[in-house]
Formats: sequence, C-alpha cells, structure tokens
Amino acid sequence: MAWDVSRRTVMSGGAVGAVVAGLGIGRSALAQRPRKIIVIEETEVPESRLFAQTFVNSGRAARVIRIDRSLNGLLHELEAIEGVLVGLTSDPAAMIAEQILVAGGARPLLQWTHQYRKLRWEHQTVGAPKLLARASVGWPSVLAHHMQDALVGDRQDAELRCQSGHCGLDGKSPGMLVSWAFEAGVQHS
Amino acid sequence: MPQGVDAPTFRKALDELAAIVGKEWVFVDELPLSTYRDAYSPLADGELLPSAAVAPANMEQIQQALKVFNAYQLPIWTFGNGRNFAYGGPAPRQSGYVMFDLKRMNRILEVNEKYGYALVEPGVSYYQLHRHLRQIGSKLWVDPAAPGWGGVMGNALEHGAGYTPYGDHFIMQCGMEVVLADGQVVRTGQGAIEGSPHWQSTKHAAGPHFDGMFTQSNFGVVTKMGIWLMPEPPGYKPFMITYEREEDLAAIFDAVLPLKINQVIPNAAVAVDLLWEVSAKTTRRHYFDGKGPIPDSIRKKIASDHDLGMWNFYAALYGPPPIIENNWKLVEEAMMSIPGAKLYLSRENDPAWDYRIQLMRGEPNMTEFSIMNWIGGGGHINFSPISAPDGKEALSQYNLIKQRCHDYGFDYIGEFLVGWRDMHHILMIMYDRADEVMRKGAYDLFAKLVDEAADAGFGEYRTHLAFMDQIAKTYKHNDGALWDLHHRLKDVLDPNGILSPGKQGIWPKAMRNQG
Repeated sequence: MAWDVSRRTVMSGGAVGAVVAGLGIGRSALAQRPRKIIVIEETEVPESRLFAQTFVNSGRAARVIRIDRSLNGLLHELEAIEGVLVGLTSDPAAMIAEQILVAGGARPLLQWTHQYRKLRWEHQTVGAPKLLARASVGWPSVLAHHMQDALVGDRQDAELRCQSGHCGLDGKSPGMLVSWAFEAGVQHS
Repeated sequence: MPQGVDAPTFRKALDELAAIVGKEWVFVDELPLSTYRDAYSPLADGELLPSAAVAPANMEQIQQALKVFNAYQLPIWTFGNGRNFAYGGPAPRQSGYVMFDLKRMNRILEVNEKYGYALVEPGVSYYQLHRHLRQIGSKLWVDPAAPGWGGVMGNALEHGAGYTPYGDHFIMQCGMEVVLADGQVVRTGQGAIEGSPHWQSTKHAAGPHFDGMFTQSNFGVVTKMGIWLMPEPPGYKPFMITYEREEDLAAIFDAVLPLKINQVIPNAAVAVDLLWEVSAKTTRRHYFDGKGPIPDSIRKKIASDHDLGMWNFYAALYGPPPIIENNWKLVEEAMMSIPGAKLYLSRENDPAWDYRIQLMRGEPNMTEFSIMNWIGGGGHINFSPISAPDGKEALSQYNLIKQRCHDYGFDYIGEFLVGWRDMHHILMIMYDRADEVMRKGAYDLFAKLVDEAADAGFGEYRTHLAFMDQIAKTYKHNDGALWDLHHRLKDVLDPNGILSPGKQGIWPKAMRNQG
C-alpha cells in the first residue's frame, strides 16, 4: 500500500498556514476552470466589503456569503460547500475558514497577508506589487481583480512584498487582513 | 516517523490500522496532517508535527487499533474535537506521534429532558449539541466554552469553563466510558451496574471515583461522557458593571465572594480587563503604533471612547422573576458600592456585550476569536493560574503578572473568572505569530510566569503543550509525590507507554528521563 497519495480528510484542528502561506497558485492549480466563485464577506470589515463588491461587479461571484461579527456563519455556511471560495477577511476569520474548509477536504490555493503599519498597508502577495502599492485605500478592489486573474492561471510566480503610500485606516478595519482562496468539493488524486 | 520505529515497520503498522478503520481514515499526507498543527503555537514552525493520523469510528475500532499501537509501540495522541487553541490545539506533545482522532465519533447518544443531561461521544461540539437540543424542542441549555466550536467532552476533560451556572464543566460531568490501553472497557459510577438507568444521574457508586483520573491525563481513551444540562430558567437578568480603577479589582472580589458562595450570583462571574473587553471592537493599532505596553494615558482614552472600565464585571441572575428581583437588590447593593461603578443592563452595538450575554445564556458563538485582531497575526497563549476568589490575592496576582507582561513588552490582557470556590485567572499573551521576536518573547514570558506564580503559591489549572513539564515540576510537595503517583499509575495502566506520552507531564517509564 502506498501512503503518499492525497486523501480527503474530514478532520481539522490546526493551522494549514504552513502549507499554504505565501504560496501562489500554479497554472494547473484548479482542478478545472472555476465553476463558480463564492465570496466570503466579513461584513463588519470595510476592506472585505469592497473586495466582495468588486467580485460582484465583475460578474465572477456566483454567491456572496456575508458573515457578521459573531463569525458564527463561518461554521454554518462552510461545512458542506462546493466551489472556489475566496475572501479578504480578518486573520481570525481566515483561520476559522481554513479549519472548516480543510476539514471538509478543501484544497488551499492561496493565502496572502495585508497589514497596516506606520500609516501604510504592507502587502505580501504573489504578483501585482505596483498596482497594490499605488492603490492606497482602494487596494481591496485591486486585489480582487488580481485574484481573479490568479485563479485562472494568469499570474506571476514570485512572492512579493510591497507597501502603499501613506493612507488612513478605517475605524472598523482590523488592520491585519488575510486574502485567501480554497477549492472545495473536488476529489483530488 | 515515530521515535524508534523504522519506515518499513511503520508502513506495516499503518496497513494494519487501515484494515481496521478503512484506508480513507488513515492520513499521512502533508495537507491533512497540517490540520493537526497548533495554529497559534508559541514554538518555532516545524515543531510538534505528527507522523500520521488514524480516525476510528467506534469503540470496537479503538480496541483493535490499540492492539496495533501496543504491538508496534507507537505513541499516539488522542483528542476528540481538537479546538483546544491557546493550549496547543490538537497538536501532539512531540513530533512523530500518531494522531488518534476521535472526531468521527460524534453521536449524541441520549438527551434526558426529565433529569437534565446528555450522553455524548468525543466529537460532539457545543454547536452540535445546541442545535440538536433546539431541533428536538428541548428546554435544556448547553454551557459552551468561548468559542463554541469546542468539544463538550474535550473541554470537560481539560477542566474547561463556561459562563452559565453550569460553568465548571468537569463538575457537571457524570459517568464515563473509557477504553484502557489494553483494550478493556470500563464504565464509571452507576454505569458499572448492568442496565442501570442512573449512569448520568449520579456520580456516586460503591468504591473509588475514577472519573477525574481520566481528565488531563493519559490513562485511557474516553469514549462516552455524561454531561448535566441546565434547564432553561423562567427568568434571566444579565448585567455588566464597569469599574474605573485597576486597584478596584480587590474590592470587586471582596464584594462578589459572598454573592458567589451563597449562590446569589449562580453563574461563572467574570471581571474582564479593559484591553480584553475592548479588543472585540477595535485594535491596538487604532490607538498606539509603538512598541511595548500601551501607555496609561491611552488606556484612559480607550476606556472613555468605549464606555468601559479598567475592569468590566459580567454576571447574570437566573430563576423566577421575583427571586431575581430580590437577589438583584443584594447584588446592586454590594457591587455598586464601589466608587465609580457604572451599571449596564443593555449596550447598543457592542459585540463584547453581545457575546457575553449569549454565553451566559448558553448560546455558542465564535466572537471571542475576534479579540485576536488586537495585535493581528493571531498568536496567543493562555497562562492560567488558579486561586481563591480573594480581593487581595487577585490584586497581588494581577500586579505581579501585569508587571512581568510589561517587562517583556506585552500588554496585560486578562480576565478573572469566579467559580464555586475558585478563581481562574486567564492571561492571554497575544503576539503576531509572523513576528519571531514577539513569539519568542511570549514564550519566555510564559516560562518566567510559571515559576514566579508557583513561588507565590499559584499553580496553573491547564496549560499549553510546551509548558506541561515545567508546570508539572511546580507541583513539588513531598518531592513531587503527586506526579510520582501519576507515573506509578501510568506504568501499570499503560506499560508500553502508547497513550499520549507526556500529556500534562506524565511520561511512560521509557521516556521519563529523556531530558
């Protein structure tokens, strides 16, 4: 018996961060072209709303799941979901989503971080550094477009860090955000 | 790879385990195994990694799997739900262990409305039990930990706490079924009487009580557990009182002790410090971008901006409205006598208030995770000394711990929870897990606090994997006689040392002096 094949897991309990952190998605990362993209919006977080709205406006979002600040919806909505899921959320929400999705057999596609420090946003992504650096407060919209490209394989390889110009921080923003994507409901071989 | 086992032998063992639980329930790949890491570990990346995971579906599979583990002397790490974050999550005590994941065993075996209890398997979460109770029209409450995705059994076995009057979960546990390392199945209490309907109604039986021996330990695999559930009361009055000064902590606990001991306040009342309370609604970076603890002037601004005190006391009264109103007079008289106290019976647009009110009436939620936004980067580890609920002692413990936090550049973020006769102090050391210096600082601070608290007479009631040995050594009365007893039991009950070696500093003989 060979013990090196991927298997679906129904378990969870720890970080998958070490597996996905900083990784972009390969050209063949998606099992198929995205059937539908489900966007997770953390409604209390302004950057998350802008990110989700951009997906909706682009026509790529088949569905938006809105999570209130109790974060309970992450447990209820993500347990038996199928499709490509994306989100720009607070770090705790990203961690919970990771736990639930990987427990259900989802495959992590990307995980990038966005942190507000000393009056600037610092982005750690794969690709799009100039666009993000120029975007200032509109960066979640730029990120959403970039992620859409990345999900269909049109992206650069290198992990990059960039910094925005001086900008303010919305009073409702946690200031430390994670953008992420998972493919759920696909059997991997 | 498990220590002392070569690859061909390990593969053979995995084949045998797959024959028992099914190939799809044995995991060796990086992605599924990554789910067994500690998301918030204070240790460097790459520590405490399992070699494989095995997920049995029932007691018979557990018995058969234990035969294989014994035959190959494979160390296993058993858990039910795996949400024990801040204390290590599901991660093993050492790298190479095989995870023995009981999450598939998630049946609610019985709910007894008349006597107010449930019998559950290891994988049942608070959410699951709560949903089930509502679906069947039960008027019983769960007492969830915060956050509510945790396991009913696991939390009780770890001596966890909630916020209703049934908040001491191990006290509310009644009856266990345990598989010993040799596969023998034991039922505790009245469960040992064939056909007894009273297994979950009474803890008492002839002979010694063994239930406690299977908590925070590695003497057996608990497969069923009874838990008492609180009937929905006819009335519920939650409240919050804010106190202006840090030193008010002593007066708060001097006032609350008689109310608690006489069951006027029946639930697990909690005094929450300013930063813990405010972190559900804002972040540190909105107020202070510098290094080190937040200056006092900024703490005062935070308190003013959010109508909070340096301490924020939550509790609730339960029962028929006339009794609540009578008891309320006693509470108000005692708790509002402290100068500067402000009472809140409701708060608008306040997520911290919302989730506390939910917890005190038994509604699971996940809101407490949002306080990790305070620093960003999610790392946290809980230092949890326990003592009597005495005002002077609480203040002295607070001053000691706060000073050490500041010495190491951390904010004090904590709460004091009062139980039946005890006080749990939970210090949450928060750090950005991507910041190596901060992570190491959190680790060093924790290690320092363990020894200093022990010197002052305070032991921890629960701890992260990384500090289990250190904390075990603080229980040193009569040359560590208590841990000697644990080890004597371990050697008899688990001679091959396969069950969760090192759990709570209890090691099998072969690993005891590994340094």
